[in-house]
Amino acid sequence: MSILNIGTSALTAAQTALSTTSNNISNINTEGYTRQRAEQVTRPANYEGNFYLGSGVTVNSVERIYDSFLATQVRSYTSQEAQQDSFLSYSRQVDNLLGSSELGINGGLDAFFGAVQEVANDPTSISARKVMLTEGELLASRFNTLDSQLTQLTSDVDNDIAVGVDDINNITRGIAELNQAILEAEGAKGSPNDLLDKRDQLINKLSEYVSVTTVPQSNGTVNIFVGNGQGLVVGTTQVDLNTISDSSFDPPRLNIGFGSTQTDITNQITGGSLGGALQFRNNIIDNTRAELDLLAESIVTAFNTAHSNGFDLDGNAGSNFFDPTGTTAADINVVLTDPRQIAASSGTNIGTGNNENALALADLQTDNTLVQVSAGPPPVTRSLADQYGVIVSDVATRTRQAEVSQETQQALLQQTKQRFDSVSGVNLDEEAADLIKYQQAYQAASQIIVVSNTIFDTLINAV
Amino acid sequence: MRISTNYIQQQSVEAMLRQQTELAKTQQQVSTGERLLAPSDDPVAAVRILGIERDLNLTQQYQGNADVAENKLSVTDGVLTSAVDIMQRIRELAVQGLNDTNDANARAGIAEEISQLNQSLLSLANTTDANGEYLFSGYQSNTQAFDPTTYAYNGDDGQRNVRVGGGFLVEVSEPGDQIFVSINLDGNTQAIFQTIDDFATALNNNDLSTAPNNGDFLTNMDTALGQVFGARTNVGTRMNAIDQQRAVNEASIASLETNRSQLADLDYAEAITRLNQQSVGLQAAQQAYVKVQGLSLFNYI
Repeated sequence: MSILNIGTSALTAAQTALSTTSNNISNINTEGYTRQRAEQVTRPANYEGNFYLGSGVTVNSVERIYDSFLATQVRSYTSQEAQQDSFLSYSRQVDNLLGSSELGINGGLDAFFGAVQEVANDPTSISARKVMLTEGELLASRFNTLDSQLTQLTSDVDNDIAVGVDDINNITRGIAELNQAILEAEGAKGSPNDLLDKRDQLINKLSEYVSVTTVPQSNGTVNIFVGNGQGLVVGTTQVDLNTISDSSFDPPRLNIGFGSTQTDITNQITGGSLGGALQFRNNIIDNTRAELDLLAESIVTAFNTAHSNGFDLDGNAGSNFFDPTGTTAADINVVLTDPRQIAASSGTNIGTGNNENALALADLQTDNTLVQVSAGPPPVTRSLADQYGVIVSDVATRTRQAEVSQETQQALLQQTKQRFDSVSGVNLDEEAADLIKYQQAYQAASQIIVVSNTIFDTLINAV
Repeated sequence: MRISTNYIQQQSVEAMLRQQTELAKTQQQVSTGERLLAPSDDPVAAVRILGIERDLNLTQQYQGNADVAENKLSVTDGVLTSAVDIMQRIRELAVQGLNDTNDANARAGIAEEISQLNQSLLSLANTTDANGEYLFSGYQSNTQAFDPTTYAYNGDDGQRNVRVGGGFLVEVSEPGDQIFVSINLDGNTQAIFQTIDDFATALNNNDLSTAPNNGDFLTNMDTALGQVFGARTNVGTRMNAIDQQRAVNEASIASLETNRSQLADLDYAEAITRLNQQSVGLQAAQQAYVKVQGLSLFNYI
């Protein structure tokens, strides 16, 4: 093998390495780019009778520097962090709603029962009675507003599900296409680095929506499963998720269906922003609405019962104060319209100045047996304000927990990303050093050509 | 360990964002003066604050109720004081009229004055308050307590209560029959106005020989006066009790407000220190970013 050939092989190898380095530098800001390295190996040596003589260098392959274990970890933490993040952004809204002085039920209860006490102080005053009616309506409207805000959040979750399902389908379609392209490329020789990068990037994006399991196949394709092993991508085929309406809830809500059979897999979805939204819907919305309904029902029942025990300003038996059919936070409303009909008087010595029933109504505020949480035995009961306190504390505690675990997941995600990047990310200083190294190698290889030329000239001149 | 160039950049940016978030939160705390911006900032404290605020509102309501009760009682007290004055004057006139040195004319004059005083006493018993409610007709507050001609009691024995403390209901009205209706020496139960009216008629007719319109009248007057005094004492006692309860309420408002403040209010000294530390931290992160970004081997080739 001639010096010229060896020199040329060195020049080519240095050039390839310089190209790879340049490619690394130029893709410094490309999202999802994995740094590449030209793998240089010796060319097959020639047997010269007594010994092997090396025949130069060649570039065997251009490899991605990639750790699939770290990549899987990044995906898993991405899903968990996205779940906490999405849950948190929702539950913070409920937390703020419940704690707000304008919307919170506690302020409404205080104002309403304050008005009841004013009626007890002055049972003949029409204006005190009017204030009590108005405060009753305001209390009911606080319930209604809270409930409609919670309903609004449910439809925000629906929206997230609809958009998320669309995006997931687009992403999985892209992954299936890339699987196809990679399958074809791997059939030829060499690793299709850029296609692999793109596919990894899509899988990472998918992990932001939902937690997935990836199973690499020997032919280069990757299968992707969600939930309990529902295959979103198997080889080069892809299966759509879709939204299905669940009308067992009022208002109807969206669930997630799988494939053409639309099997409901909502409860199997974990992780990612979808997992977080679903967790919020199950844990916060449903709970809070149920507890608020219980509070509304307790107020309506207890207040109506006590009110019906009394007699109004004209000596007639008291009727219902709240609409007895509206026993949820959404429906609670005051049915009494005439302030004279407020039953402040008790049944003994019925009279305009009798405030005994108004006192009994006012005492409901601090009655610890008003809200029955469980029938027992022994029955568990609370006061109205305590029940609201429990609602606030439930949401606040869950939100606080999510805050803490979101911080933890974020830290874990960052650490893992750093480890992944420390393997796969481009470092400009390193590339600069490589640039110098391969430039020097190129210059040295050029010298081999010059030397071979000089030797050749010497030979020619000798002839 | 090998670090990617992008990671250095990202880490610096994230550090700055984190510092900014913390700084913004502290800034919001300082500008609102609230330690808790949402219940989740401290769930336990948030729920305790809810409880404290309810108790605070309730106690403040009791203070308002105490004002109402005290007003009502002091009006009653004023009326009863005037009634005592009038009844004592009538008793003096009766003593004077019973004296045999008076002739028929003089007695007729005294009887006239007693009748007029009796009318005043009756109108005191039928006093209405600022809302037009009769003070002494029990729960029948729209009904005149005593009929102006028959002197019959038209009210009932209902006694209005006002809540001035968690476990403290105070009576703010006295039914008229317990003040102005009494049992005379002859066993008759009747309104004092009737007793006085009968005596005035007898005095006018110069006929003071038969009971009860003789010396017995003075005894009957004393019984009636005793009842009015008794009612006044009740009213006075209750006003004292309300004053004491008011002091208790005030003390518990003060302690509730202290508790609330400890849980909910921002410790400004601590917050300002934190604000300073955080802004120094942010500045440091910004400067570090600029310094580190300038470092590159490419500067030298």
